Amino acid sequence: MKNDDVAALWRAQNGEGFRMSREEIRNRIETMNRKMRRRTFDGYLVFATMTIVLVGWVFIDRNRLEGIGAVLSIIGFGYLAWQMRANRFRSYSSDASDTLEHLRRELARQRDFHGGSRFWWRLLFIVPGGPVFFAGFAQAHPEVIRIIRFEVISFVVFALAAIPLNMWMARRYQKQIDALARLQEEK
Amino acid sequence: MASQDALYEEAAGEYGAALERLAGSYEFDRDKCRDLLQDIHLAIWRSFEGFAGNCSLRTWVYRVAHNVAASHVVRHQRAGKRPLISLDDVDDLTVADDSGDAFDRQQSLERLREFIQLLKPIERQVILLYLEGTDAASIAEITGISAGNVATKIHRIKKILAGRFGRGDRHEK
Repeated sequence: MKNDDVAALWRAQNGEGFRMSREEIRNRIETMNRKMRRRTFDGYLVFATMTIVLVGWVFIDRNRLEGIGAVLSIIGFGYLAWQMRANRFRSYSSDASDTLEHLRRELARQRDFHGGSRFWWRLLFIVPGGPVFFAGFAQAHPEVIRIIRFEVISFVVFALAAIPLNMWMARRYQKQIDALARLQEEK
Repeated sequence: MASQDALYEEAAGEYGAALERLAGSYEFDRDKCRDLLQDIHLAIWRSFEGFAGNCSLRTWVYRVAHNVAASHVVRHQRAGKRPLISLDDVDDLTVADDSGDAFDRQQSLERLREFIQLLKPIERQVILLYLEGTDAASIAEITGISAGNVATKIHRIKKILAGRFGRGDRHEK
């Protein structure tokens, strides 16, 4: 088979003649909006449950350190939820710029999520809350201090491990951006 | 300038089949493919709000469609499904296919789709536009790749297609 035959064979696939009516377009937009509302609602539900649990513990124990930790955790996870929503919950855009530019923007967004100032802010907001809360919890329940120590160490280890992992992902995205830039250079 | 609906009708009529082939080469799963095709059509319809006629309808439609498909690939790539390859990584002398009956043609199409799905988004776009019969200058305009790089990629695509889908072209050079 020659190249022209391959291309002709490719173009010979006629498909179903798919097109959308005005009604179908409106339904599709409504479905997408509903899906986004549902995801947002789920996010709020998780955040609200976590807030209730943390505030509940603070109310039961009445420990100041635990209270500070709970507030910091709530702020931290609220910030994380906001960032994730901004980064992921988007419908496909109707971007008509050339594909290199479109892809570069998509990849830059991913890179900044993992390696830019947004990552460091995320870490700064999330990390302090847990250890402070656990320290307060240990004060209120000294009988479980060994378990709390293990939990704090695990939390810090996970937080530290997130740094090289996210940097690696950011570098991976940057490499793809660099490869796209090379395609724009004239030979 | 024609209305958003009129432009969409024209685009769907003129490029509908090409858009179906495009969606089919990005998604094998029938339902996901249908979803992607709907997303592409929706994006095209929405995009016509801002269409000022600065480029041809074909360039506009292909840009929007490929951008939706490219975003689709980036999202799935993030989920860590499989690493995508470059045309330069492809071995161009694999299985030759010079038979012409309907079954083998269908198999060739399946193999071609499988091959296209392995490629990085930008290279996928170049090969799809090439298969749709788009000339190099238009491919450069749609993708943003420099003309020199498009020429190199088309040369590579021809070589790979000749190696993978028949021996005819090997004698052509």
